[in-house]
Amino acid sequence: MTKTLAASLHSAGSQHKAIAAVLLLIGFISGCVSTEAKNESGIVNAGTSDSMLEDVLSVLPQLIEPRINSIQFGPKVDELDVIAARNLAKAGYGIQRVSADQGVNFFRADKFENEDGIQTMRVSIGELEITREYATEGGIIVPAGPFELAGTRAQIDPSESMLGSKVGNDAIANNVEYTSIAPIEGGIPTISLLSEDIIQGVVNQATQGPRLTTINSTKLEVKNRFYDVDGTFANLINDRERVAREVIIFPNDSMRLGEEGKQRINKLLNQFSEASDLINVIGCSNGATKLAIGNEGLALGRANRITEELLTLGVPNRSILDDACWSPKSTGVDFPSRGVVIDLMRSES
Amino acid sequence: MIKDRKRFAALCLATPVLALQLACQTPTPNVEPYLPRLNSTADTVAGMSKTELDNLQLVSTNLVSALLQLPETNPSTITLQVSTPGTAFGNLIVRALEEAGYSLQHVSADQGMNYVRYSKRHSETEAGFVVDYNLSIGMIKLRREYITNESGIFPSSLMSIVGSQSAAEVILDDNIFIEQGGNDLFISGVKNAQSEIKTLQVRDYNLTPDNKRTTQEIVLGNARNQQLGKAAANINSNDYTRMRRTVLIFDNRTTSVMGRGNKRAISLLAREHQPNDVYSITACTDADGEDESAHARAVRVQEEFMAYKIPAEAIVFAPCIRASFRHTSDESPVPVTIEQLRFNY
Repeated sequence: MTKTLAASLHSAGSQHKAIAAVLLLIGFISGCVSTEAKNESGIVNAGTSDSMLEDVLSVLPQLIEPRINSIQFGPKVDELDVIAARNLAKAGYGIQRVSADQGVNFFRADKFENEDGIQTMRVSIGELEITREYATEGGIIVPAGPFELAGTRAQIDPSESMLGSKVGNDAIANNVEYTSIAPIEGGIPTISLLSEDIIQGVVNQATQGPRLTTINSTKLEVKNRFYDVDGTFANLINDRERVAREVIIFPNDSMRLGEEGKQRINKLLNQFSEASDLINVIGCSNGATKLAIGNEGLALGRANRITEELLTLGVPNRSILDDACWSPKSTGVDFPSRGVVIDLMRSES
Repeated sequence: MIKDRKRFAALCLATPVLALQLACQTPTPNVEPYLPRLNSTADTVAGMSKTELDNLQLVSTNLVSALLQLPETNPSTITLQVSTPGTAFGNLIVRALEEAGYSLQHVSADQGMNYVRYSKRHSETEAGFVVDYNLSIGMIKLRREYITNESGIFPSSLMSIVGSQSAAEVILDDNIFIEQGGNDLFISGVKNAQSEIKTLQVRDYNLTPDNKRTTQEIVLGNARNQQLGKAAANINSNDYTRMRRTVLIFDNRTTSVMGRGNKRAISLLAREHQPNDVYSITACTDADGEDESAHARAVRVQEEFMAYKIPAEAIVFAPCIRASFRHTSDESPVPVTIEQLRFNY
């Protein structure tokens, strides 16, 4: 084929040779141009996702310390993963490619758009979620809402975000709201207690009297503190100091928290420090009840109601120990008959 | 003249096609699989042939698969610091570390306790020209010599591993060199180790097509599972009290994805972890008592515990329980049982 080309070139006039040479050169260039167009990440025109994701990630160092923490990325690399890995590496985080969903700080990012053109960027890193809405003004992406944080109570300064300067005096966009993380599809597997005393107790108890254990809001089996004053989480809180206690009294046979209850929780959370504190929630129902769910259901429901409120206010799940105490007869001084005891337990170190 | 015009028209049509063909006669390999995903330097591999890149990939895979098996450099517990690679070998080493699942922190100089150093030195020895490749992280140093011939690249020395207590337990997957074919012998093993030192024979018929060769992903995956599986301890159950039990459900028998619910359950168990607690994992419920994918699931659970700083030694892989028979095509969800055991003081 090359020989034929040379022969054709020879037989054509010199003018034709020159034109053919130019065509040859164009052929070479066009054959190579596609490889030159690729950038390092393989992503061309990543578009508006860049600035939204960069803005959300720019507050991450205020929540998770770079240099001593790694972020895990799954095997499926999409546009958002590439942008995030580049930015997080620049910020000093370790970047770990994992084969499935390994790791404490596994990364996920999602982008949504509503019918009004408002785009939402949500980044999940382990049990932490950061969400913000954005609008396009004159072709420029600007924040259209506050930072929504879930799974943390840590304070952040939104003005330090990458697009913080574009917010101006918009009080809403300059704000931080705390919320609970998205529900887990399929739920959490139940974690049962296996202690011999529990097993023995269950056998002895047969069907008489209140049960010795129950399943709390995180599907963890916990002991009835009516029988076990130390509770299930004794080894987590024994070496901690109780720095605050709030007792929230629910109306008879009710799980309604009420305005006063919410205020008490907020008061307690003003002292909460994510790094050093655990919150022990003990829902109680001791004494007669007319409800079919019985004392156990009421106690658990009340503890769940408080846990739900704490999660909604951004308290990470790992910081809450929800316990329960129930019996058809009243206890002594340790626990109220129809309330929830919330203890703020602080590590001494 | 008309004849000339016809010829010229034909030439015009043929030229771009021919030009493209000529351009493709000197193939430029797709360098993407050889470069790190972050901070790569593509110019260092420009002009290198696919064979040269494949040779460097074999060497980097060989060194990193040994590194993966050392408990001191387990990817679940260590973060490595890397700087932007300035050489082709550097790019391939960083890519292999990425593929191995290491957390890589990109630094501007040589910051960090676990800074990754590497080198490639050409030596003239009694065995001819050899190239020795070094990889070191903190106190751990790996070194091996390789020789290149017309068939490919082959080890010409044992692997030297310095700075680890567990070098003797490293198992090298040197079969990746045999797949290059040829007619040669090479030595396989770790220097000063109790493990067996072998001489491996390479034959022409060992030549394996590119798409059938053992990939870097497989070699590194095997090395990782080997290290993790090996770390699991055997315990005397009389010394422990059973504390908690949970059953994780994996979507099917081949997946390693745990999902948020299972991950949360592990985090709750890890929250109550006490020193000397152990976790017994029963991942295999097959009637025949042998199941590789079950082992992989158990290792996956072990990795998740290790992410919470629970040592690999705290994980016990329980033997298969003959609970059911699963056909190999059965893709229904599979259970993994975890029991938390507390040491009786």
